[in-house]
Amino acid sequence: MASEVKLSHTAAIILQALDAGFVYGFSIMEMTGLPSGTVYPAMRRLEREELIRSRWEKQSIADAEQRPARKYYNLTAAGKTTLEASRRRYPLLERLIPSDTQEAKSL
Amino acid sequence: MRLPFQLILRVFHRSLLGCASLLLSKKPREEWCREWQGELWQACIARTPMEGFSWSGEREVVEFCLGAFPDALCLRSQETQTRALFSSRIPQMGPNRRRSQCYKGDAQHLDKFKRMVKLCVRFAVHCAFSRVRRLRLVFPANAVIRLACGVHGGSNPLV
Repeated sequence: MASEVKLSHTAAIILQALDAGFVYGFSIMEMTGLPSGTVYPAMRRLEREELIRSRWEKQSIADAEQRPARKYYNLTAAGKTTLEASRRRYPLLERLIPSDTQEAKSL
Repeated sequence: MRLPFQLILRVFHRSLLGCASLLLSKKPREEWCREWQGELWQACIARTPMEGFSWSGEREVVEFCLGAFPDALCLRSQETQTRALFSSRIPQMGPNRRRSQCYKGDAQHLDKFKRMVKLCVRFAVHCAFSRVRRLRLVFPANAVIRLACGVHGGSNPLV
């Protein structure tokens, strides 16, 4: 069912960014250059479609880094399948945000 | 060290998020606020300088906060959709609904619509006929007065 979901370019970019290791809202914004008013609602819709899932960071980790806890997002199995389909639909997607970028690793 | 103006701006950012959170119902509000405040912290760190003041940076943070409104609206619409999907008053197709229930719901809506159309038609007919009736009542009286006064073609009566 999820493989039948046709994503918009924005949603596909967000999925690609998540796959590349940008796992929270602001990092996705930074990577894609999309405004917050686009990224967060798109992520809500993706979560509703069960293409991504969210989890809260452990408070102890956030406390150690002296910052508020983040909500992390990652792809579900259905999300990965949909992303594969989107890559075929938008061939420049991977060139735009290469998977496992160094920038994401440093976050 | 932060300037008082910067502190005022931080309060302003928080107020924007607070206003946006009012669009949500009580249940998801707390988690939503927690997420946005975490993201706001990140945005402030990334966009504003540690020392001094940057208008462009502050503007970007405000822009970031304004994005909370479409997000809250999106979440709210999702909530409304979910509520409508599972509400008994508006039966629609859903995981726990049978096709017959949906048809029943549609039939109810169609019935309501029919009743509303009927009412509108009745009202229109009533208005039209009452106007005709009024004209019929008024016109002969005017004609009699005009004839009595000897009025012709809208000129002044010849008394």
